[in-house]
Amino acid sequence: MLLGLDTLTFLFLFLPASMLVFYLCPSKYKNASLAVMSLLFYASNDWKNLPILLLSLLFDYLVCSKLVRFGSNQKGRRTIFWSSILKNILLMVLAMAMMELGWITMPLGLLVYTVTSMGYVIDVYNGDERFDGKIMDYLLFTCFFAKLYAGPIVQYSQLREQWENRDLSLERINTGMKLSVSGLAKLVILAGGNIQIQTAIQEITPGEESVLSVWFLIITSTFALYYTLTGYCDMARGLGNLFGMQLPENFHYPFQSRTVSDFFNRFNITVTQFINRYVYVFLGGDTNGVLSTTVNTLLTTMLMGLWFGIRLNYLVWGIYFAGFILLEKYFLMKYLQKIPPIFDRMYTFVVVMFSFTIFSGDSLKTTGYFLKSMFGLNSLPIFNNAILYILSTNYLVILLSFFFATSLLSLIGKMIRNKVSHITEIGGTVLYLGVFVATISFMI
Amino acid sequence: MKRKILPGIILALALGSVGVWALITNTGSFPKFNRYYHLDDYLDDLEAALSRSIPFSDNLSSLAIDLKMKGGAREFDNIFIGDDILVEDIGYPDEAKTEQNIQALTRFSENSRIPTYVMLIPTKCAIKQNEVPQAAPLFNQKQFVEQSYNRLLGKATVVDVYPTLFSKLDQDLYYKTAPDLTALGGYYVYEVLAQRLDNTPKPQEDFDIQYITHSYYGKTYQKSAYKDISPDIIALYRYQKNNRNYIVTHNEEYQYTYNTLYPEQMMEVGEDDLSVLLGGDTGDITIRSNLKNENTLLIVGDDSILPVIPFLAAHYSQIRFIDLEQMSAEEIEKIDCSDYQRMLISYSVDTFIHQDVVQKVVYLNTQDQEEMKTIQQAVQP
Repeated sequence: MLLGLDTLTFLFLFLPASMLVFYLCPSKYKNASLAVMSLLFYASNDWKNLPILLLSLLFDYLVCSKLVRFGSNQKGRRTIFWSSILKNILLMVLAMAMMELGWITMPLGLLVYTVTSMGYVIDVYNGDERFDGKIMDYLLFTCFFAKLYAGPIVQYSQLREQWENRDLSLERINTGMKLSVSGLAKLVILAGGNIQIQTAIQEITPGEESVLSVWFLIITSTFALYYTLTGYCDMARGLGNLFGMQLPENFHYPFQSRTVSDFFNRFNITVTQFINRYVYVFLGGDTNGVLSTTVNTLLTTMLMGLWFGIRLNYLVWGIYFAGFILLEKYFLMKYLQKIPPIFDRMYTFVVVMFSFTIFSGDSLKTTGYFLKSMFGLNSLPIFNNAILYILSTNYLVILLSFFFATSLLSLIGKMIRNKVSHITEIGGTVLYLGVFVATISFMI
Repeated sequence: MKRKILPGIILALALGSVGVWALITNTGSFPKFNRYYHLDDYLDDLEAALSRSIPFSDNLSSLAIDLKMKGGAREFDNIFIGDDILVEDIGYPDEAKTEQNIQALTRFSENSRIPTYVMLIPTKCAIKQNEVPQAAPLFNQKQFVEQSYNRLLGKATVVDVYPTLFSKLDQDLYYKTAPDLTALGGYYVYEVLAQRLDNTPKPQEDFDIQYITHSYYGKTYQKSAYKDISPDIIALYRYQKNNRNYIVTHNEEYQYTYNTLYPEQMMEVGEDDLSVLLGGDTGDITIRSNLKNENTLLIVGDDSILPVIPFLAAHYSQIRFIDLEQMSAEEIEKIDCSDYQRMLISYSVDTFIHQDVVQKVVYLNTQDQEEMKTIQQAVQP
């Protein structure tokens, strides 16, 4: 990544410059300054696709203004509304399909700004959102540089309320710094570490594979994806705070979910909410009987899978989850509610972990190979030197990945805070400073 | 309002001062954007320059290494961290190049009219296995050397130094901070090689040992992110019996000559301190001694053989070392191998499995021009 959130150039040149411009600007130009910096950030990373971003967003902006202007002319409103929806869906599908075919690399933030903008158009059309005509606010809302990588998806009204009473207090800055540092550490140390392990396992020569190596390939692929997404989202939220914006949480310890349905309430939360709101509920949700609920659930989870790309495996990943969600809804839930929490968490963890055999494979054949290997059906040795070496030289990253996937640290922090609050505050700041220095050292 | 924005401005200044500090203190190392610069390349170069110039970058780099080592890591950028030693992992072979190298060597040896010897020198990671983490997946150099030698049987005389070096793995056979053999390692290779070349190896006692530096940091150290290694000692073995004198000539055309095997001035002006060995690998070195015999030897190889040559020099009136990598096909064709009584082809396993320089042996002139052309057509590098 050229000017990624995890580069020194961003942290020590672009971010401070953006902050200075933002803070020194008069209040009414703050959003405009940040929107300009966001476009500059976009241009630095992906200038070739900047026209697509601008054209797409300006089109949606004009659609919104027309929706307001048409007033009670329902036919005209419907026509331009659907033209915008169609444009957005086509843009996403084409980009993902061309990326899958290897013709292009995915334009930066295309899904995030398109979905955000599409949600806004739908809300304006339905009368759930007010169109205020402030184009720079609209640009900032759709393409704020911190959320281009992995979201979260926000609603315009959430931000507008905050802009009206912008909070740039020390507390907000403090929260922002902590979130940014934790996001950066997740990206650089945990996601980077897991990607390294994953690559090392993938580079094991064919004859040296083992059951354990396939298990850890799946585990590290899962963690690599999780910490990349959650790292970017934490950074987006942290950086948002530094500019007086509170962005919604996108991941909330999904690996300790008690059910698969709960997993989707904790994983990629804002995307799930978007799909639920604009697809699931729109289709009738679970109010029209078993068949309708089944179809709606299937469609929703398949879209959740396709969020990551147009690939058969992602589609099957969605179907796999739909199966478990429906199973829980009509059969398992009564039992899951009765068993001790540790067991239902284990059940969910296993289901989720196995889902990544589908997610990580580039084809269903590969998924089949993973599954067979994991259960020793491919005549592979249980373990060998190759995997033992990789594990012994990376054990801490793996242990930390498991630890930070749970809310244990947060619980410990709360316990200490309840007993010695003032020391915890200082200790916490020192800890975050230490993590920041350690993370920077990994980037050198 | 001013108080409200103060925390944000202070944070921006704190972060920005790091970047500005790096820019000011190392202005020269930062790329200057111009219209010919591609934006992607510019940002990459800017990131690299920041990484080098950020305050306390060396300390931060060491911190990262320490933290990774606490997490179990013992290898960085293909360099294993041993007990006060750096060991480069040469990785697995380039199958195609290796096969072509073996074929070129086989064909050349078959057609060579002078006795030809082949030696593959194992690298540090194959010998100093006690310094490499257990279970580290290493390429089996011992097996590779044996298999390669089997294919050369009857065509060339092979020299296997692996067992001798491995039996002495606890000794300082290789520099701690460089991939090269020490003088001691060179001596053990010489012991095996001299016997194969029908010479009686001189005992160690016949050599005076001179320690010329205790602060040598070699190529591996320069590449390594881990720096907590004590320096190497460079020792020189000088054969002092029979008033032996040597004249070392580099690149005959230039007549760059030293009256010693160890021109110490090259430690100052050469690539690194190891340039003291014959004046460094310049591609074509001839060593003439006052020894009154007709023994001459042509060595074709890479710089891994340099530590061995001073010992061999005790047996020959003339040794010529040529590094084919540094010579064009035309220059190689001018060398008449039949001027020498024996020929040694010596490469480190690392060079042999990753580079195609070995295939240039087909340009060497050992027989009739017609025959040579046939071989060159059969094995085109």
